[in-house]
Amino acid sequence: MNDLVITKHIHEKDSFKIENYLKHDGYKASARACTTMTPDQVIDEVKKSNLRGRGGAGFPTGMKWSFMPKDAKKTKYLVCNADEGEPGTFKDRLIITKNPHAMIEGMIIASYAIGAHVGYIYIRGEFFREARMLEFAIAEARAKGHLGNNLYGGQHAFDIYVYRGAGAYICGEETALLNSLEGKRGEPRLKPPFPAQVGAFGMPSCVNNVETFAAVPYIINEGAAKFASLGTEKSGGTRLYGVSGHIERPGVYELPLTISGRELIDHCGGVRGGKKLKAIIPGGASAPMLSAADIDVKLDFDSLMKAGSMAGSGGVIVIDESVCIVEMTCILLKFYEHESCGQCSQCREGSHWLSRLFQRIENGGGTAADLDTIATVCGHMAGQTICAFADAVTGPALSAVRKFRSEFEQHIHNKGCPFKKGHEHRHGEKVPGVAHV
Amino acid sequence: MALSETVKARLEKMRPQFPTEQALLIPALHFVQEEKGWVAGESIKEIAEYLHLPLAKVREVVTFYTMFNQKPVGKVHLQVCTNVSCWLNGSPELLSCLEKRLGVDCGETTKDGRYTLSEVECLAACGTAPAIQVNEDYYEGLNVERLNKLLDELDKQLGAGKKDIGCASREEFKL
Amino acid sequence: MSNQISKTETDLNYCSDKKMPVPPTGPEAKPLPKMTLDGKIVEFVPGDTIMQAAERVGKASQIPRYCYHPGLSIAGTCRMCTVEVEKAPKLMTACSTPAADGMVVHTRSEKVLKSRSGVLDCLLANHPLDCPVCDKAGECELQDYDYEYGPRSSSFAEEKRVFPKSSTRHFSEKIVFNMNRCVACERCVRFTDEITKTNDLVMLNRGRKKELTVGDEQKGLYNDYQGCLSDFCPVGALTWTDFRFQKRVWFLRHDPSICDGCAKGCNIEVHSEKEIIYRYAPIYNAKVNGHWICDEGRLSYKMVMNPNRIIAPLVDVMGHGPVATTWEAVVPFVASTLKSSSKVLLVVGTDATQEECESLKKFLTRLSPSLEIRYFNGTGVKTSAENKPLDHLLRQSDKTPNTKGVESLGIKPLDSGAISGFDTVIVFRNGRAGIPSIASAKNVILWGVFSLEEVKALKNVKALMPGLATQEKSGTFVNSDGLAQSFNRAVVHRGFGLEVARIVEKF
Repeated sequence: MNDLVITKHIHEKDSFKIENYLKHDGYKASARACTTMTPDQVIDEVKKSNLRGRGGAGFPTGMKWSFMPKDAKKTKYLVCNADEGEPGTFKDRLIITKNPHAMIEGMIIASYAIGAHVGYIYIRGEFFREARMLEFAIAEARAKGHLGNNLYGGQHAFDIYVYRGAGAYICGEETALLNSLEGKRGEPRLKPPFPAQVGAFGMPSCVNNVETFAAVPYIINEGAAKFASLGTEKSGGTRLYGVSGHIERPGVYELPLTISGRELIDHCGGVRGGKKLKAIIPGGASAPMLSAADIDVKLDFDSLMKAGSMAGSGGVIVIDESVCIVEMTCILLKFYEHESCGQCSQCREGSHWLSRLFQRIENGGGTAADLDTIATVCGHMAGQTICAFADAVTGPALSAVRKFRSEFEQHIHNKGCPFKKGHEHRHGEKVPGVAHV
Repeated sequence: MALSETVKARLEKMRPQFPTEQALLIPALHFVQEEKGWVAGESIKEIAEYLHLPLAKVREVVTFYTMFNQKPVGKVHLQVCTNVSCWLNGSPELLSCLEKRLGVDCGETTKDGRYTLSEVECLAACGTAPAIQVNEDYYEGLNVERLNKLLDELDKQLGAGKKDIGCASREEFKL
Repeated sequence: MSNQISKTETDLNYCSDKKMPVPPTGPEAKPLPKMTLDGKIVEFVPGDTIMQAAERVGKASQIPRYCYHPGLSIAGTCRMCTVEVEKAPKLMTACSTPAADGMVVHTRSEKVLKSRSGVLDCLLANHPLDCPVCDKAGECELQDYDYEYGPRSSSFAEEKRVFPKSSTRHFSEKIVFNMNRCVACERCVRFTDEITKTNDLVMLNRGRKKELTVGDEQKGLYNDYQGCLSDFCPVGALTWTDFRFQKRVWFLRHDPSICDGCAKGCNIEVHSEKEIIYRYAPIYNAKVNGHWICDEGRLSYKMVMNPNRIIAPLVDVMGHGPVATTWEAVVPFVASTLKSSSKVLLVVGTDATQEECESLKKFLTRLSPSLEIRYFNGTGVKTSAENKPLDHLLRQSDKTPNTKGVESLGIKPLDSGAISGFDTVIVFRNGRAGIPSIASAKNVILWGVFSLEEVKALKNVKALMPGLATQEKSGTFVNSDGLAQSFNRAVVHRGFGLEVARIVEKF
């Protein structure tokens, strides 16, 4: 049985309530950190654990916390990114509805480490129920003295406010999130300055993902070494993989970072209906897709990077042989066209351009030159914009052509989609809202 | 008067949470939409005055975010996710089922003002795809049969004049 | 303190000094940091961005840009100004990246040129092929940069996005808008936010659906600096109605001058062809008007070009009213009128130049030793002390350019608008100052710039000697801040008017 950092007790009744959290060593880590450790010691421990951001960028968390200025007099903000908008990602929803206190405790520890007294949880607007659950959990924590002034009899004060987004995927980008928090358009900011220098309301801020915070209590309780040992050499711990698509048992699975694509699919019951695997998108829609031939790659940050993809948000989308890759890429690119904030010339125009181009190929109007145009436009976009959204667009666009070029050529040659009917719909029985481990 | 006393009270309660007044803008828009179902031009003007913001700054925010309805919506807003995981699991069938059943195209409202049908992006319910959002509530693991049953139930609720359709969590987590 | 406006000065570094700290001086001063810009060592001031460091040495034109404007906040969104910085993993935007001591920057490396070409390829994808009908052609930054950096052809094969309701939309009487041409640099939005503080332009929606519109549909576009929008819009999305379809810009000659529409004395560039003025544009002056001019000033050329302006001498010999004549006829008439007058008053408009005041004083005192001289403003302001700024930017209530200058020559103001006790009054003005009521004088001699309507409204006009408008001559004005500004002729007068010195010679 694998070690579980976050989802160990989520199958218990009312796992989200504080009584249950306290039953399982809840809020022991925050008490320990605030009373027996210095902020620098906390940061060191998190550094040693090799915890990397679970939102998608995979930046080492301890390092991020160490960038915050040490000046105690400066107002600093801690922000939790609960915007979960990356298609194929649904793990943060699980944490919020089944184990919100792990996240809250992680935030308390982080706030102590960086010297912040106010924390915001930026939660996507569609999560009405989840936002209310968070308010509920925060009220519970406050009532039991884990939020407020003089925590654990010491000097540290910390409180958390929930802030609801309003339907913009780009607000998952940390600087766009900060702008949205300030009541502005969710447009990413130029970096530098980084949030650690100029963040929310002009003050130094640290933004971390829900899952990242939720892993922190374990690190303090069990030790950095233990956490690190669960993963690879460069990335410690487990990861919540959200598996969806054409999979027998979709859901959120907490597994060590050493797992491979094949192992994960097997763990989830294999491709649905025993069909043949065609492709997987290993890290949410922005991750370049991999073909069935690549299935043995390990799903950690570095291995996936080497394989030409990325670990991203851990949203693994499984695609079977019935799917037209061109059509699927159209679906993905339509999403990016819709969600581009529109600041940067190449992203604003390029996301639209690619979306229309792929649609034209799917509808039978493609030419051979189009495949070159795709590469050209992606070349305009990658690495030359304010944020990584433009790079994310090139993820599916380039990888689809690279891995499934013959399908594109077929569309062009046949002047139409050889699949015509792209997918089958699902009649399986699944109880909504339950994850499987 | 577009800004009700309730909305103002909620905003005042939130005010100490932020160092700026502008941060109250998105919550204000949410509160108004919660009451009225959409954000009308009048509401936008009043919010701008209330928060001492130029009208332009409120308008640019309202139109940036997808969730703010700039036109009235039906009593039941059916939001179907058509992103990749739901698409792989049959969302197009759900969408066309609804279009046929309601007699509207995606993006439109039924003539009786009961239903608005929209396409939305990933709702983060991919493990239980396909999913739709009905006002505030999520309905997951759907197929055409279940969807029709859901619509039957909604028709019943609408017929009975039920208040707060699709807002189950308001009661579930009353603070 | 003279601020000589010359043509070469307008080519100087186009930098906004709100972001330019003064270099430290004195024995304790540290040496200025240096960076290498395209192989040349360049000094800059700590806090400069790469773009500002380039501006200091006149190399800013090597870095193309859309969203960056030295008078506005930094956006960094257009991605045109990206340059290669050694040791940095990605291209950096010159407008927003702080310059660092020892930095090595390349503005024309292969990587940079490829990136610029890419940005243009993307911008041109949806840009309409409007050049043949677009006012901006010839001074369009999209045309210019595309010519220098752009891809040789486009591979865009989709349908261009169109905004049917905003293809020709009149935001106001002054500005015509075309959203199809917009490159979303948002200079205009930042301008109405930061400079005019009216927020009367806003960008709605996001992504490809971004659309510029007025901030408040009921108020519309209403600020007093709308012409500036057309100045700095890099493409033909926002154009100045007054200039719409009037003249292709490559026919226009540019000459510097001073706006005489009010006491601010904004520095302007006169755009003319065949000595006909088509429009004004601002010239940057840190001490006076920054990067901007107001709309009233921008349109003030219309007085100079007014078809009802009197541009020939007038004389009334028969007592039936003034009629057009020649200089040979009017000069002796004026000379004899002055000789036979017992009391002569010269009323100098506060739009007269310093040189004109001096010349008139000298000349007329010679002809009429008992001459009295007063100045008259007539635009609601009696003396320079009464001038009030009309907004936080440039506009002044004194609608004449030289009240302070005239006062500094020791001339006293006309106490009231009404004049009595003089049998001859000479009114000298250049079209901006008001005309005092002079019903009681037997002889009224007008000198300078007048319109037909103004002459008709006066009694006892015995002669008119037409003069040159501000843009037609050289001179010096002292503005409302006490700054003396000299200017040279921008266009040649197209009538029989003459400058004061030439007229004096004829007597």
